[in-house]
Amino acid sequence: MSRAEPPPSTETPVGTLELRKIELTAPDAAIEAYIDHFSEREWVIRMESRGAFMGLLMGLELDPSHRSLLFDAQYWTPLPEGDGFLVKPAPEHLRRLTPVERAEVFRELAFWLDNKPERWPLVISSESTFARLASSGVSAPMIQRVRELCYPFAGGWALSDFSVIADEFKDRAMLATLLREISTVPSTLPRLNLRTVVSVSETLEYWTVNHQNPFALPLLEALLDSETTNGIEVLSIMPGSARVLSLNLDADEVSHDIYLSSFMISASLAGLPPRFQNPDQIHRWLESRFRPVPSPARYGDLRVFVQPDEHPVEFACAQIAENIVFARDPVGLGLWQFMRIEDLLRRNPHFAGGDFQIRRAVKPAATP
Amino acid sequence: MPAVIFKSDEPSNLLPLLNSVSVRSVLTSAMSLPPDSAPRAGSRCRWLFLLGVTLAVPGGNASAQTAPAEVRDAAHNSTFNPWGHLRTSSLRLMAPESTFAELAYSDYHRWVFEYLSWPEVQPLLVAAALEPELVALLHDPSIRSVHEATGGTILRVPDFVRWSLKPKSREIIYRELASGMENLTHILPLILPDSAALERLNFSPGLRAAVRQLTFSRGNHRCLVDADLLAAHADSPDEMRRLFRQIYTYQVLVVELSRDEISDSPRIADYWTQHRAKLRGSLNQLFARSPDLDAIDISHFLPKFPQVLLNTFPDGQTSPFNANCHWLALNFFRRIPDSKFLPSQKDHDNSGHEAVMELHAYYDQVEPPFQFGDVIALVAESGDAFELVHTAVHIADNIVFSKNGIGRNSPFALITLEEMMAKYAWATELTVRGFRPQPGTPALPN
Repeated sequence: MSRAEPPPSTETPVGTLELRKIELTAPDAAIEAYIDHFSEREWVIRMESRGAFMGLLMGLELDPSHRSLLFDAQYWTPLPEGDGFLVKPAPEHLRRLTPVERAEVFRELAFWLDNKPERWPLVISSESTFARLASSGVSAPMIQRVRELCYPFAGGWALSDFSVIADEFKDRAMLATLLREISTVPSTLPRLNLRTVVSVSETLEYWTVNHQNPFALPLLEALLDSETTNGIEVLSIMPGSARVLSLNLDADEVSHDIYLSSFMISASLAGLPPRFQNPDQIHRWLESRFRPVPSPARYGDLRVFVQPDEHPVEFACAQIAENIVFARDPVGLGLWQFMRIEDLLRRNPHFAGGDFQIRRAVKPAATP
Repeated sequence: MPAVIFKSDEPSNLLPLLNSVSVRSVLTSAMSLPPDSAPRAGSRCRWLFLLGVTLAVPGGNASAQTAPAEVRDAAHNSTFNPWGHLRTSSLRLMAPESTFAELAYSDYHRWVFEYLSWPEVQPLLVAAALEPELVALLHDPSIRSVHEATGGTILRVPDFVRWSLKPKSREIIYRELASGMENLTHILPLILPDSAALERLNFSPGLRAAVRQLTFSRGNHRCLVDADLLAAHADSPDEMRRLFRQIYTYQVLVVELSRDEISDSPRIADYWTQHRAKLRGSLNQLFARSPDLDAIDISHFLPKFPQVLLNTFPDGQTSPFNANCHWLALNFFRRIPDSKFLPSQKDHDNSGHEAVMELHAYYDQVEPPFQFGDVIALVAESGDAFELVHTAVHIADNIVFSKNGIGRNSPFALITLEEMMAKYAWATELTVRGFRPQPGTPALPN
């Protein structure tokens, strides 16, 4: 466990960021929850009429035989609320899809919040992960099946068909190992040192988001006053909600869609604790409380994912400094961590062609 | 930091608590080193801790309060430590200026001699060289009353009497008051910066004189109780602000778990993550696969409740303005903090009683070595009675998570046991007791 090389650091006017590379793994409880929730496949297609539903199915660019098997009437049923259809595809039919067909079907399914594995697939970002799977005890047939079920994209290989793997391989421990290794991702743990800052007042304004986060002030002042060259983890000055979530994922969160929490926690860095129940609330809140600003982003700014064309997923992360953001990993289990913005953009197949818009909290009007 | 008093002749089920971990047993534990092992930093710290307690009688030296080195290696190389190798940095945490207007306590003028009747108080005041006319004044029934619960003496001391105390009188009287549990400001007086630091602040002559007049010595420190009397002697509010910025500054620790020893001792990960903490089951892997990571802040291993509070001051949002030590220590593992440990708004503060009841109901008394999450209780024993003075949570080595004092002016922070003892055990001898939460109870939910 010897240390390889000194971590890179970035000098900024508001302190020195030292970026320590780490490899994070999802907690065991979260992995077990993933197996529990996603071993059986259910798709929700929220279209109010049967005609619209059939139209969608017919519009998918699938081999006709694959389409007829996958969406045979025995596999779907109207939702009780009447606002859509529940599809329970058979694993043997899912197995037949080509990678191109998977990308096509899963992108359509990703428009609905209910379809988490399609919106936020497991992602294998490099060939070395397959080697790691082998050395961790995942069997060669399982690795081969993973390869067959992935569809490629710019950031690696996306896997939404964990249910097929779980149907075929009943060894729960090995399934857990598979998830553990796939969810082990390169990340960074930034440290902050304020020994070289140019302006104390600007530094405090930056890291407290113009004093919207006064709780961080005592520690920042202590750090400015300190002789230590050791610095502190940036997390130490972040809101409690972010501190608790960082490097972690509650098992209860595994089954929930990622976008809602990505907005709530990211916004908390700006000192605004929102409570959302649905996308409309987010959009209204975003428009009223945050305004678009040009680059460069500042600590606490929201980076909201935007795409020129209609895109299936919404997402937000919080700016820390330079190219470092605090984000829920937008794939698979979705650990909260620090990421480089360029890595984040490559992470999810549905992010292709998109970018992040910077939005800054509007200062609340002073109360008389 | 409320007090609760129990006597053995009362129908109480708390007597088992008297089987305390004595200071001597802590000493024995700390000194039980292999014969050929070199002295360890931790042992010395524990010795100082004991010294702080032993000498914390009138005239005692609070040298254990000295700040630790900037970055200190807390590892003990000669024996295995279940918590691993810790790296600590010391920071000076300053209370937000918004809290200065609200001084920590409001009982400056109230002197409670809990167990001394007026005939016993009077000679004490005389021995403290209080002017005879002032002693006579305090005898006045408009000032003096009898403590309803204990029969002791309560004095409502006029400002001019407090102002006129000579330094030596103040030292003697305030030390006596600090040995009781109802004089919160006297138990935890404000500590002034050293003379050089005060000099650099360039105060007006009036404020300098007032500081000299109102402070008293405690070992190497100048202490202040009657902070409310200073403002009238300052040139401006800004001068008071500058003084308070110095006074309400606390030495706290940033503690990190070093990668050293982790690979040799997988059990170290268990020590930190046994209570469903973050990175449970993956801490060893994190270090093994992250060669850049030389250490990780131990705040990651705290339960959610204390993790949110660490290095903050009560702000009315994440923590109530009147947060105290029991609210922090006894809610440590709770998912939702129980407000019964907060001091009530009524005259009679029941939080200490609630704390003792909680310890009795959901905790097992344990002897050292203490484990992560054990409650450390500081107890004053007097004959067959004892009083709960303070609670904190043991983290590792000699580090505790503590809130010293009630209210907005003091932080939730990691400090050393020595520091905590030096703050609390200056006027009276205190015993350290350890209590381990029982799994499956409200104190440690499954």
